[in-house]
Amino acid sequence: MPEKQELLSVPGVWNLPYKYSAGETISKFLIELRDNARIMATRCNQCNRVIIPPRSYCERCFIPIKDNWIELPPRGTVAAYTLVTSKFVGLPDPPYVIAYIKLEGADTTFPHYLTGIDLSDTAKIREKSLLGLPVRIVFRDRAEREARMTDFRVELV
Amino acid sequence: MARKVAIVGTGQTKYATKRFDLSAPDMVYEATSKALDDAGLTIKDVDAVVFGMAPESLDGVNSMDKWCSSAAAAYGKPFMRVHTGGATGGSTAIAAAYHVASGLFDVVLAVAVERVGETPDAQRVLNRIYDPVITSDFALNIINVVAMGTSRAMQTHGFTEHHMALIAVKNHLSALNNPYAHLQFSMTVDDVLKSPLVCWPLKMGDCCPRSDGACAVVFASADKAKKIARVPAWVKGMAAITDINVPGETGDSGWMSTDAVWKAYKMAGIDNPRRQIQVVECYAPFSSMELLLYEGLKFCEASEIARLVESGFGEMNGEVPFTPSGGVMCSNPIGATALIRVAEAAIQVMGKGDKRQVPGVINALATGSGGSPGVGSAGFSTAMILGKRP
Repeated sequence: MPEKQELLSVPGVWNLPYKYSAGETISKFLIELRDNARIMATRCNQCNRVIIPPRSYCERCFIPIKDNWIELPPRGTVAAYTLVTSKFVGLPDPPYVIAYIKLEGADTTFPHYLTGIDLSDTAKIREKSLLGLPVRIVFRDRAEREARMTDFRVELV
Repeated sequence: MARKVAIVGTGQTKYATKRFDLSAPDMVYEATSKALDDAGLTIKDVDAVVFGMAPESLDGVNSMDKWCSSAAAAYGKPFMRVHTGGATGGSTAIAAAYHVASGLFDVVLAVAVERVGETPDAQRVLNRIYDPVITSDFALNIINVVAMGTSRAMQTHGFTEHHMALIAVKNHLSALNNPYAHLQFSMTVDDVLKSPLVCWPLKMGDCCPRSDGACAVVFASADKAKKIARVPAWVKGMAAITDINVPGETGDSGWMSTDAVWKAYKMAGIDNPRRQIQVVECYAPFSSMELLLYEGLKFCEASEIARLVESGFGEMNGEVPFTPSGGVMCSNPIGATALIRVAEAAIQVMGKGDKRQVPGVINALATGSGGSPGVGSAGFSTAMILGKRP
């Protein structure tokens, strides 16, 4: 009887460093977060959509919009969310709530962690929907801001 | 369409978390040679190859398509790679069909592969498909992005985790009829509801597996198709659309709704899909995505979804069977998955479905869905309708 062929698996790893160019528009957005605790979006003058995080172009009208800056208030609502209870390799320890946030005046949403929730009882979080609930943007102290999306947190009101 | 096109053969590998016995080129060779055999053709008959695979960081080999190209019968032929995330297989099929429709090529292979089992955690890879500057602090992957869309849709469309479980149960049962399916075990509604929570409301039972696998489909011109296949599967309609539709954004037309399918219906002369389509092989790696497609593919209004699920609309003996193959929930080699939908739809039209054959199929719909929607990056939808009549 022929022996079953032994099958090998050869290990390999990708360990690749990168520096991602944020570009002029996002750089300005992040620096406004850090230096002035302001949330800046860009607006398309043709379709009137307010885009955050800001883009230098409107993808629908296909025109440049990088000079049309508009400040947004630190208020919005939860447009969608999930409670993450599993550990994914390389990603934070659960539980945490991740959400798409719609700021007042914005037409787009951005992802962020949702804070101001008691995470000690995950069963409780599933009981009541957080959809549409109001949130406020709370900036860190100036010394802790680094021109990153984490310069503020999003808190349930 | 410039010139009529038909599918004349398909080939698939058995899907599993890891096919230790096959290297990536071996897997591609198996699917491709099976497709050529199915069509009664050889490499000499192939005019061009279109190859699909999704982020290579899943497989860990940069541009794995080049390594696998010779296994896709591309030696001496023109070769193009297509990548639209999860919709890759659908875009690959459409690109191959375009090649033939153009009149420039008579027989074109669409081949796709993925080895999601090569890395221990696909979500770690799928965390890196979004805008790196804005999203890298937020642990986005595919499961939590789908979970966010689902939690919102549960409110706007009125379905529950119970309805999602019914879809999971149906797919697991169907997979038992499909010798290629990865997951081959039945589940009860209770099994699904009690399975570990991953990202609310998605539980393990609502999610697809990580799969290795390859698929190949042979497209041919009308003249050739009539000589090659007893029952060709004619491409009646096809469409692709790029969308930036994030749940909650202004003008969000509904997360699983797509204009791609309307274009494909129009091309195929279909104005009443519920009556005119006899089987749907849809791209739905998560239970919630499938039931949302009842509205997304224009079979019903949003408010009717829950009731249709309860009535067994998409079951094997339901009004319009959805994924008799067991679907993406039971096999998901990502870059190949949407091509597998095309292959399974073709199998249904050609009458080669065996235990999973739906009786009386005239038209079959295959869809693809993918990309990284959110923060300005795109999601892709594809649709292809195959029919018995040219």
